[in-house]
Amino acid sequence: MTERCSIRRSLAMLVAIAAAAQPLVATGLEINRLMDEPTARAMVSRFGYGATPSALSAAMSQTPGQYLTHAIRDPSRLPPSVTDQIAALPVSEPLDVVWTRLGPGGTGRDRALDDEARKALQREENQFASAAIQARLLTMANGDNPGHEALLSFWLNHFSIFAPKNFDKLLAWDYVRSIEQAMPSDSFEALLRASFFHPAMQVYLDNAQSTATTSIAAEKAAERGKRLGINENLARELLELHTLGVNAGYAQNDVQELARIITGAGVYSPRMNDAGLARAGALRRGLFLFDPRRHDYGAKLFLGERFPAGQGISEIDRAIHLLATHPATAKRIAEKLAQRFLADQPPTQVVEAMTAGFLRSGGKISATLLPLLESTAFATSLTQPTKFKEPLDYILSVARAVCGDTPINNRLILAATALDMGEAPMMHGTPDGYGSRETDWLSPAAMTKRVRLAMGIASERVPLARSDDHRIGRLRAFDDSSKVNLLRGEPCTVDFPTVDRMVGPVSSETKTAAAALLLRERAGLLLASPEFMRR
Amino acid sequence: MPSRRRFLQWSASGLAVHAFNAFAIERAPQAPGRLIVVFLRGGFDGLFALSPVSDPRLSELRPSLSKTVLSQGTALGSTGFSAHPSAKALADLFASRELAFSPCAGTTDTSRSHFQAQDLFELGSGATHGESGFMARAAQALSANSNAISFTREVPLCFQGGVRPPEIAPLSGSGLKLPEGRLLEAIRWAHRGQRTGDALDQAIATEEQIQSAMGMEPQAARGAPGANGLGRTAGTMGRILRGNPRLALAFLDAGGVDTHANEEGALRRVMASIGEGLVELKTSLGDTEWRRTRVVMMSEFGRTVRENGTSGTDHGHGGLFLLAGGAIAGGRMIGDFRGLGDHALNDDRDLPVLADWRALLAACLRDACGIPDSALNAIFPGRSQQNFAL
Repeated sequence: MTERCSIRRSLAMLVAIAAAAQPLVATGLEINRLMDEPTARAMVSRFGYGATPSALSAAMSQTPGQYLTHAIRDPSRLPPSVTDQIAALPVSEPLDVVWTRLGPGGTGRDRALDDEARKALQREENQFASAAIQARLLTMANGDNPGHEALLSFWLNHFSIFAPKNFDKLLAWDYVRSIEQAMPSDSFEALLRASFFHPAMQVYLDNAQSTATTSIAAEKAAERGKRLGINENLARELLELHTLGVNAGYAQNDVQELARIITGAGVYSPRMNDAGLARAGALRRGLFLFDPRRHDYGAKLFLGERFPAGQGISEIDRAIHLLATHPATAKRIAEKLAQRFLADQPPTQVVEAMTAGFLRSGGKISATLLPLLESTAFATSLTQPTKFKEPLDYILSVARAVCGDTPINNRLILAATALDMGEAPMMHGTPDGYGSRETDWLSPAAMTKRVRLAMGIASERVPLARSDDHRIGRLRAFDDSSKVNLLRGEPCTVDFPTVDRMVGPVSSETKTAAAALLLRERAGLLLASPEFMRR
Repeated sequence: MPSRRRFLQWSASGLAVHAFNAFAIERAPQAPGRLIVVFLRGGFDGLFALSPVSDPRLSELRPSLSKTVLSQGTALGSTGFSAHPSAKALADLFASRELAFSPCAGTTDTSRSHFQAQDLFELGSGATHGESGFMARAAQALSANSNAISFTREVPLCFQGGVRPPEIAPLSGSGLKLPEGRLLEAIRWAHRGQRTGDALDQAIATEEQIQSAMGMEPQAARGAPGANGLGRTAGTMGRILRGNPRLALAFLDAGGVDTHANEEGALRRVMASIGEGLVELKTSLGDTEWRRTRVVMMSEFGRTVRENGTSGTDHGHGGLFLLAGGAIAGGRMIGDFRGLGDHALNDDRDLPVLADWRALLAACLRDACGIPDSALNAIFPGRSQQNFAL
């Protein structure tokens, strides 16, 4: 028995090797032909968080090309119950109102607070961060444009922030929306600018405080005996993570020069003197602030280009443009997209074609992704998915397969599960974002958690549809001591034929295993099957 | 305590095993002791923890960050260094000759990128890409009756690609309890022969053993409440190691040291936690095991010698290497320190690397795990020929 199994396994490996060398599907996807159900299911699983009956029929009324365009251009619509829920969260309060009250020097802070009041303030701030994460998860789980949600998550993870850091608690949700609003421009530069010029990124990577030593602000501070100076954190990650990549040939000196160029970029706060800002020629875009009094007006040499003395925010624009259109950036973005949406080790030719698409189009996302969709490797991968689902892919696809077209309204369960499995949005501690390879995620602990989740949902013990707990709540693990509260509410009802159709084809081993089970148990098996753990 | 007990054993398959398998590594005849490698991710500012207070330039380069240590630090013998008050536990261990340090240790990294420098550290081959990590190769060189363990949730890069997978005991996060029954059996059947199936089987087979090891002493669970992270987990780690003498090589990592701004507050807590962790480890191991144990702690790089404009420090080069244990030649400085003068700095901003990380770790592996020179050459190919007597 075991011997036969191992022979079967080696055969499977041989087939896989042959497939890699010479794809079974010799041609790429028909970009302009309507998708059939298997293609649509694979597509909403690859560019999206898994099938639901309505997501399937929507995808089947589109060609792969239209699906991509739609994903880039159009935000998701949400079921009314989800929209209402997000509207009731603190993140839906207008940001400038929140900022005036809770931002640096805001009216909610300006008195000497006693311990009790300070704790209440911290609780309130934390609720903004939790609510941003929960609102994002609700949108990912229920949005009617799965491709859009998958791409937005990709960019949010590429320009990663850590929501609990300082004032990012208040800014995180606005950051999500700003990145989303940049997507229809179909331009990498627009996304990079949306991230850089957002106060959340300025706060996250400490640039809001970075000050030229030669600037007016530094001189004034020196008179008061305070030292202000450069912080090179954002400059480094802008080069290393957001654009060129670590081995792209820039030097420590380029990091320092870029840090000088971006001085003055920062955040507006209510305690600032508006008249003073106007006199200094400061520039505000929302809560982003460019303050000339912190900027370094000296000449710079960045990536071999001369930046003459006397330039203000215009040299930031110039540096960002240089980075956004750099060939090393094109290659890096192509590789990252291919790794997330095709394979852990994507074929070189595909990455090269994507890089060329990026460069030819001046950084259009559609032109970068189209060669991916057209590649034979992509067509093959849709029929034989190999990407191990990341935790969010898995959690949401299980929830969607079971709930079908019933809205998934329990944001507490979504957040707690994502946190427990280690991939809650905007909760990655370091600026590199979450990885997307199998080695980043497959482990005994991960498998245990997945099996437990699938079994819990399939036995209708997890209240995905609605929670009885209406607090925003701190983020908690799925099965910690507070689970009594978390598990109170309304589950989605399991309909086996629906789950079966959403999961799609499975191996003969999975079929054999299913045959031994009661119909009721089979949904759990399908959701925890090896096939459904890949996309 | 049964010494045959195994924790999760899991070898991630991301790195090619075959290429590495091709050359054999000579094994240690026996392990005289044990080595625990603690990796601080994020670029730890060693100059904050242990500061060269006798260097006149310290207060000039670090006007705010040196204040506390200059007025309240504890001198470390005649080394010219003092421990920050939050690192008092380290000073105590230094005084009892159970701690030694090297202020300018590090890797050959020049990128100052966290991610590249961490890869370089963990692979240990001198390259930033490779087939196996140094802990995986070291595990292969352990004597036949010894094993390696990783106190992490996933398999870290340094343990990937080996032929003797490490055991894994995550010290934090929720438990691994799986329901039993025919549904679980069916799921295992469906995953047979696949990487997901291997992971699932490992989880199931060793779940109970983890639970019982964690609960080796009832007070462990109720345990001493640590300030954060290391303080709390070190006790559990110590009890697991004491109950399993075969575990000759261990790894754990911790973050939270990337201090670009407001460093004083952040590192105070970290240092208190590290100090508490070492003391808790010593206590939970007990005298006999503590004398067999060496703990090393380092980071992917140190930080800038000058403080930056936001009361923090940016990415640097040379950094602090700590060695602790019950039977080490402690109470001294290892390797060179050339002061903070302009001529002594690397790129006019960082400490230079005067003690190569691979030479230091090789000396530790030799002393603690009895790993022979031929194996050390395979674990750290092409390392600097610096020879440290630790």
